[in-house]
Amino acid sequence: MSDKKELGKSRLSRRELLRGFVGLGAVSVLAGCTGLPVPAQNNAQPVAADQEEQAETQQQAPSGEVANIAYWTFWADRWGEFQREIVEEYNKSQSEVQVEMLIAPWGELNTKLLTAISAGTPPDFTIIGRSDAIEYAVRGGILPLDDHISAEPRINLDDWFEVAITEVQWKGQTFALPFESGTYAAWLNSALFEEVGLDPSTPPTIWAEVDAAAEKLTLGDANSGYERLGFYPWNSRTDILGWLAGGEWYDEENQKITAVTPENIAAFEWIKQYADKYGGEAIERFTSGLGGGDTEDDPFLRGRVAISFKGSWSMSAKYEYAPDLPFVIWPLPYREGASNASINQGSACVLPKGSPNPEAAFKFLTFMAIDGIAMWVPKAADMVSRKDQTEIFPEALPDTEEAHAWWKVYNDALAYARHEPKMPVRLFWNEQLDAARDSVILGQKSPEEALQEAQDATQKELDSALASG
Amino acid sequence: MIANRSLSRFGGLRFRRLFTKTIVFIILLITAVAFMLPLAWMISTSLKPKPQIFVYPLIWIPDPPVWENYPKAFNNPSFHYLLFLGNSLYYAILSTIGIVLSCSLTAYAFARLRWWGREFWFLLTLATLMIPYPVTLIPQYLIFSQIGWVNSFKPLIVPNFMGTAFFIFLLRQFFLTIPMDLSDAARIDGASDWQIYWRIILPLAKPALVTVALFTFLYCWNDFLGPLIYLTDGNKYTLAVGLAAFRGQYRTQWDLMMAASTIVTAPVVVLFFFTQKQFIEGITLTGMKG
Amino acid sequence: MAQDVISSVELQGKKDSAVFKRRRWPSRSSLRENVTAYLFALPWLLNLLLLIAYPVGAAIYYSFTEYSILQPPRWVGLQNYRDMFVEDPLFWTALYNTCYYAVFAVPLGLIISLWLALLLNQHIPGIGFFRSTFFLPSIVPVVAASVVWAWILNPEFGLINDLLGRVGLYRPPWLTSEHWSKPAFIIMSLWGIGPTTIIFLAGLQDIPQHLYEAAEIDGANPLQKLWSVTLPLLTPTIFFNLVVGLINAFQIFTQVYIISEGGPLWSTLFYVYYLWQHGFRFFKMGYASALALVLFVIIMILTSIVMISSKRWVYYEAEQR
Repeated sequence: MSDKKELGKSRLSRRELLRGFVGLGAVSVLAGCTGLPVPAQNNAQPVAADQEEQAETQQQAPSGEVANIAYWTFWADRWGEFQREIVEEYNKSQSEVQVEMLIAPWGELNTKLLTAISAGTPPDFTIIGRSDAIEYAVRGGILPLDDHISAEPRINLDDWFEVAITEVQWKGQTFALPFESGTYAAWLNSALFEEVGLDPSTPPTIWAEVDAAAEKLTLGDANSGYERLGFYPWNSRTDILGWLAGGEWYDEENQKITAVTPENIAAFEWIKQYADKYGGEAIERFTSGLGGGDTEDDPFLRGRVAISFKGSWSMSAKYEYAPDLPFVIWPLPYREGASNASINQGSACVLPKGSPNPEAAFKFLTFMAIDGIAMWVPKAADMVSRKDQTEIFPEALPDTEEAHAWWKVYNDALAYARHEPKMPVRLFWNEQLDAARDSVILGQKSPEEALQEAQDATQKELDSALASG
Repeated sequence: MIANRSLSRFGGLRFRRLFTKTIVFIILLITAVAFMLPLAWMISTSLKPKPQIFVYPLIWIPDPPVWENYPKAFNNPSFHYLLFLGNSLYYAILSTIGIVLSCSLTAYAFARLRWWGREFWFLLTLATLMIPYPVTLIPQYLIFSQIGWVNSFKPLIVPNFMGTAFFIFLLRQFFLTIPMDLSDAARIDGASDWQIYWRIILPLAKPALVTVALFTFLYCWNDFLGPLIYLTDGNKYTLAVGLAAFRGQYRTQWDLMMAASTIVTAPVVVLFFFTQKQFIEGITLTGMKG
Repeated sequence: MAQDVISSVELQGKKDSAVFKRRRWPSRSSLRENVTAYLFALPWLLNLLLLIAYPVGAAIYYSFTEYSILQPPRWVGLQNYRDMFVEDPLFWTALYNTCYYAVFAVPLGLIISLWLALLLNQHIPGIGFFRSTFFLPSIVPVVAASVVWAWILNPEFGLINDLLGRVGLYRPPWLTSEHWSKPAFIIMSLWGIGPTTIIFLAGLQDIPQHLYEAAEIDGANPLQKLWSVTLPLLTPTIFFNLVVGLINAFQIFTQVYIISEGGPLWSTLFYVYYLWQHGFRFFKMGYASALALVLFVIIMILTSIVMISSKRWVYYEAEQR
């Protein structure tokens, strides 16, 4: 009997378990509610308070002293080194602001940044995804730049393409300056086109033409597998399909998701058409690779898919991995009756909330947004966001007439490209949209059902996010 | 396990044993090959010329092997191997010492002593294993930033000198298998608990301690999130963080990444083979029961 | 000194390592023992109180708030819990997926690692090498391992489907299909059974040889020996691996993050990944904290069930029932 409490594997009676439960809860809650402060307590209205903070710092910042600022970047590998070169150029060019760069790998920068902001230890300056900027801005995670901008004569917001600058503005304030960007266009494999008797110099401009070409280009069928696919609509982003059909996803003024419209449904019908005709699962099988786009494994670069929608950043990959592949780039084909559309995404320069030295950081920010990007594009083969820089041609691409022509197609798209819907629940929305697309591909829902579900779920999230923010 | 009873007893027994052993050997060989496959692919890919990485049918032996991938990975501008190696060693070795000491001390209390609240604290210990880390990440960071430990290894190493639930649990189980008579006899001889701990229990538990040390070293070696969150100086990064930098935003250079993974994993494999005798052969001697 | 004590104990004929004896504790030293114990456990207790209690308490607090990390938390009472149970279908999906995974991965892992340990418990040339081999996968960084697995499970040219195809069997679409994605993860989990196998091996070698000999004299065949000698004496080890395996299976995260991100169609939306998404992607750390608490309760309940049931099936050589 007293053996029960002896050493040996402990027996935990029900009472002890209950005690344990309660104990854990009590100890924790007690510790949590007393003592150490809860993060970010000192901001009633983040935006207004920060402006005050900024004004204070501006008055206090002494002139003539070297300001050391920290810059966190998500570029790594050789792109990280290009960034480092730019930073070094800046440091050498003047002595007021010295920048120290830290690489935090893509995907993890967000976690590191969020944690640091919440504890009040963010970097002075960072570059984040341009579409992420709004989510940070709405929640007060990055500082509005309007005061800095008006004090800096070099900056004129009209110099940036509308698609780039409007994406980082919210309720009349500008929260970032765009850095690099990228756009989507359509690619075709000229050799395959010629093989089936199509003319690569007159690529299909409307969906019906694409369908006809795809049929000719496809080898194989759903049952025995494919040797080659002509085209499938979901090899890139889902939202561009809606725009190409003439639809809109988001009514910014009324803050309503507008997924269930005839145009968007038509776009999803197009997806369904391919899923039905060629077999959704069969296509998934055929196109699933390990590396994905822009690796040596890319289906287009291997000649397994004849028509593809690709971003401008894919060009350097193409010339590196498949230099001999003859190809044509042209604006994305749209549904009959609609017009040119594309998406422009990119990164943006921001000052995180709690940036220790926003004054100095903004000087660097100005440099990056105007001069740094001009140095970046030639090395990294990204696109620009400023109207006066579209002539810059990347060294990473061959200096041929053809490459220049393709680059121009992308840059011309900046005039009509859109940015992602600007909503505080953007990531949630993207996931819902992709799930809706998948359910249509796998034949589980009708286009209208899938879109309705995505719309309802996101609208609910959006409403609650807007209500609390 | 397949008995052939019709053979004569003497010859049958020998034959049966040999037969069994051969079957077991074959099964083990097949299973071992299956287990080694991912590792083999990693090394194989690290030496492949780019066009041979994603082909079907699969290529196992790169032709010709691109040895240059290793110097390339080694000298990759963001991946300062030697620097990161030093940091990883610093982090891993200190943590290992800390864990072995603190967890064995705590396990001693749980396993060899009777005290009020023991079961309660043990349950609490187990409970800490059940809390998903994403929700404690930020408050923990807050604590350390308040005391100014950010951008150092202190938030990573110091807690390891204060124990961790999993190894406390493991060592407690192990300590429970050592007969109390040993402690009793020593107590009668006038030994204090510290002496019992240090001179009787620890030596007897050496295989388990080696296990804990190895597991801890491994964990710290591959720990990516901890160093990422707490370090703001690129020169303090560990190998695990450096490795993540090979995963680019748009593209990943798989051959270089696999080469980097191999040279990150290599030191631990070496360590493992050196301690394997202690660890595997040793842990089995005294066992871990109960 | 250990040697002296051990030999003196042996002289008393108590060789069996697992035999516990009753003895009386002198009552006057119980206070001393308490103090000693608390001193020994001090580092860990300090850890619990200083470094663990606050984050856990904070997490509990956040679960009753709306917290975007960037803004101060806003009290909402039980709203998060209400949303979770009533409004959020994906919560049930995540829970279902995780339970599905655990139900298969944990027993499968236990059985296979036990089977492996039985095999590795033989005296065969090269056994040392084999024992090392099975532990090696745990050494590879998760990032690299996950990538390798994505390749092995590739529907077109992955290793598994390659082999299946050669024998003329169906080649499942694995990670691209909502029906085969969870089995894919279960297969991946089997690669990590090295540590479990080692622990089983230790437990096996702890079983006294004379019990096997006694069974053989009674005419037991290998299967009967397994059932009456090996398994009963192995139950404490099984217990440990079961508890730890359960706790880990319910918290699977890194592979999901790298390989599938919850897809396709949320079929691999596992609980901790779902939780992490809300905390760090959707700016809803309050909801994430509530999810964490619910998970904690679930794991706690399951572990308690295992522990309470352990009285029935775990056999301790020396203790009274």
